[in-house]
Amino acid sequence: MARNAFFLGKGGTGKTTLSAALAVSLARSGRRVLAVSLDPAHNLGDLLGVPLGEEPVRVEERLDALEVDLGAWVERHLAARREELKATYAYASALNVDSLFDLLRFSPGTEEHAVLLAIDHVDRVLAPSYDVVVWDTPPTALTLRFLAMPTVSSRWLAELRGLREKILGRRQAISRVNPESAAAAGAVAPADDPVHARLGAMRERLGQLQDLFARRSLLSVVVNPDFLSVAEAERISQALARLDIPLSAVCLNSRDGAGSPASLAPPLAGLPLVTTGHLADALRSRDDLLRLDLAPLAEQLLHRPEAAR
Amino acid sequence: MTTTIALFALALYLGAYFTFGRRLRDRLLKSHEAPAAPSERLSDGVDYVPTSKYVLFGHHFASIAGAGPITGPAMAVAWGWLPGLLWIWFGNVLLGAIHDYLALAASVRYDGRSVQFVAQDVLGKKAGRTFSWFLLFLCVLVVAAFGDIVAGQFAEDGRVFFSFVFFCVAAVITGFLMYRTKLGLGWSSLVGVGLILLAFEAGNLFPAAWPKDLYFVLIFVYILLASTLPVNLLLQPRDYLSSYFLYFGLLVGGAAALLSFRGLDAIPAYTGFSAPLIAGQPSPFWPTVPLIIACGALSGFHALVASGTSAKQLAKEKDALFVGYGAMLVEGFLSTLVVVAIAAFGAEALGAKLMTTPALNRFVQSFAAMVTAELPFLSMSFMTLFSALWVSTFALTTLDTTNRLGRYIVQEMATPLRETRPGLYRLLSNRWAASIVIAFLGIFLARSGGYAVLWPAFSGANQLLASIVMLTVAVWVKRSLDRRYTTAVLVPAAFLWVTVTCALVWYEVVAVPTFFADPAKTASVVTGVVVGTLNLVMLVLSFSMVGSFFRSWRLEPAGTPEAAGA
Amino acid sequence: MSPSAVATIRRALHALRRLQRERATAVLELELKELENVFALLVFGGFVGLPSPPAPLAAELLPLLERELRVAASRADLAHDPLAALAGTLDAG
Repeated sequence: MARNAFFLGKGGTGKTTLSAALAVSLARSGRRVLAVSLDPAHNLGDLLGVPLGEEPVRVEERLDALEVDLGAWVERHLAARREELKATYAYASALNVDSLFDLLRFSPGTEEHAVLLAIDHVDRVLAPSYDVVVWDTPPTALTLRFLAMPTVSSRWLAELRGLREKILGRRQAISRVNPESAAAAGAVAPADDPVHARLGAMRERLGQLQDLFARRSLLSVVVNPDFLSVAEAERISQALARLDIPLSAVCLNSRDGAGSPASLAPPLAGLPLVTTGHLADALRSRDDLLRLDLAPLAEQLLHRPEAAR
Repeated sequence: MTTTIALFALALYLGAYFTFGRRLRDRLLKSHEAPAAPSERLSDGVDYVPTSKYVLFGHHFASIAGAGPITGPAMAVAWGWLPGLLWIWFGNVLLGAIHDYLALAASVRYDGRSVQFVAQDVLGKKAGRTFSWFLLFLCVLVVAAFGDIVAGQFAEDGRVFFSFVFFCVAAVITGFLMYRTKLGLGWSSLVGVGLILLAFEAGNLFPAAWPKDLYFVLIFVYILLASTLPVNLLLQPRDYLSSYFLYFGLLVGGAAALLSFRGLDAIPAYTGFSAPLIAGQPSPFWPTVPLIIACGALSGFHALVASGTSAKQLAKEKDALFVGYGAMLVEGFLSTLVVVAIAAFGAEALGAKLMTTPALNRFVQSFAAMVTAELPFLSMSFMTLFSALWVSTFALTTLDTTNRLGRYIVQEMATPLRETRPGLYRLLSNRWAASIVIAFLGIFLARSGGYAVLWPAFSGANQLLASIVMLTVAVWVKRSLDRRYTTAVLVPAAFLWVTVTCALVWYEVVAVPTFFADPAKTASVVTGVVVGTLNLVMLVLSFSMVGSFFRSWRLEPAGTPEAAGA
Repeated sequence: MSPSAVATIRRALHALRRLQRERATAVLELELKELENVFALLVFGGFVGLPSPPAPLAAELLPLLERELRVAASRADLAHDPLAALAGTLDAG
């Protein structure tokens, strides 16, 4: 089972840099690594020195990387829905299908859903071929939304499933007495009801993702020695706590070598602090990334026991 | 004589159906040329589903047949058996059946909208609100009237209460069998009927000799429970099982009445124009007969029921004759049987106590006597329990369903308060609060009022509802149908409104003061204030309704020659 | 007994059976439609401004909920004028 590392933090703190650094160092130490960029800014390819696409690209001997094209995922998702609708609805005129999908494209939830679809795809299809997957996350707002989505959606889905079972029960009761009733047509056992099954499948998928974030990943938040990035890191830590997703480390990425920032408040203070020092010269190549010392993080990632279910 | 009367009633109703009814259908409504029924045009597999007219008839009839067509006529024999019968026959044919039929037809033409909606469209928004008020009062007053009647019957015959309790248990079990097992309707029903017979036995084994006050409390608790339990648990299977009471009762009653050839000598044909009936006061037959005989002759509530699901499910508009007109006539026949049973067998059942025993028991004993006389394999003990349970079950069913309805109406009417008085709105739309208030008020009135004075109040509300419907229909006919028939509908509508209004004025002036006879009895005084106020409000609303009516009457629909010329 | 009389009786019994079936389920059907209406609103409410699951989830369920949508549309209509349907089905007699 591949282990996952996520870097979170305010924009510009160095998430992409640190993810690239961790990916390269783990690959050089003998692990098979996949680096994934979820960030629409797509700087990962620049850092690794290789143009990236949606399929994994070999960067070096044990390191592959890819860039998720969120727009393409949204389009694929919408296209699949549109096809299904057209196929299953008896009267196409009942819904103006095209305008419905325009609405969907910009609806709250669509972007983070696309991210989750991409993560799910990588996790299920690609990750088994690697030992470690390193994820570069998009800006905090979107990241927190996609991290929250499985938890939030799970509750909805559980409610809907319960109500669906109630509806099916009532339909069964009616059809036992009056098989000719219109309700009898949909009177099936929950196991045979496509809606119930789909609700279950959705919950299952989201459950896997919840599992990925909460139990199979190492999340670290990146800060700089300045007030704003620390404040954002605190907010991130609180949000994750509400979602029961553990935050494992704080990476202090100090570009000018100054010491640790004004004291980190708990709970950030209680986390392992990884300090990456100042680099005298700018980063010019992939090898330069190794100068960022992320050994403690790698250590935590590789050797901590899998969290109990 | 009984046979003659029963046959005459049959003939009258059948004759009215095939002549009068058909004329209404073919000349007034012109159903053969009418647009397709909404169940066809708007068919959606949800509510607009074309249904067989026999199924609709049965459903509609079972919905409108309750304790009403039995209780009213049983009270009306105070005037002698003839006046009541005449109202049951001619009131039904000339008023009640037309009212039901045209309400249904109007609803069909309005795409299945309720008669309240039609009233609002035709007479104005005030009519719709008035409708709600009358209905709300009806929900309280029906608890008051039926509550006392049933409590009285429980107290009179100790077997009935436990029979009823076990009947509810039987319903729950039958529901379980029908809805949770693969037993199917047939076998479950068989078990259900068997359990009903067991319930009878239980009643025989556990006669309860409890005071009437305790029954009031129990009925109150019952209302709250039954109106809040999930419908599949008690309400649905109970409604289903109680239909067997109706079928059996009609069957044996009809057969016995037709076979008995007994003279109607238990009561004089005519005792006097003003019999001491309502609140013990001499009640003039006109105008107070609608306050006694409601369902059976005419009931506003039927219009609401007809325009509910039936209108959306009629396969063809011409089926409305069978469902709307026909069902009401059958109800009239049921009421006829009630009068016949009391008039012919009352003496041998109750002897001298016939006119002093409460109306329901009067019916129970007489009906049982009639049936056992002609069908000797049924025992008196069985038939009296059956009849008592029949009416009690239907009455109690009405109590909890009107509680559910009343809850909804309260919330609906409180909607304007949502912005202005949110606290009050929250209170009113709390389902427990509404349920408790309606049930409590009803039982309180029942206890301190007594059905002799509360039944007419309930009946009055019911007849006022009917008068709104008749006035609505009259304007609708004038506007949308053939103007030549307007008078044919307007005359009964006007007659009804005048009669009911005079009756309620009489009630306010003669019956309500009886509550204040002894100022020391606070409960009685409070009841008097409540009932008197409700009645007054209804009268005021009724007059304002007529105002709307006249305004709408004068309004010409756009595009007619009169409008162009005006 | 003549064949047409037998046929009539058979039809009458058939109608009676259908009637009893309907009587045994009318209220249940009303309740069921309400449940289906609620389900539809819970899933699609987001499209009309109610708090609801994220749009993509709703969209995934949409193709399977044709009946529920029709019920919801029918109920939206009924909600303006439900009194008669309630009175008729609840059998307030």
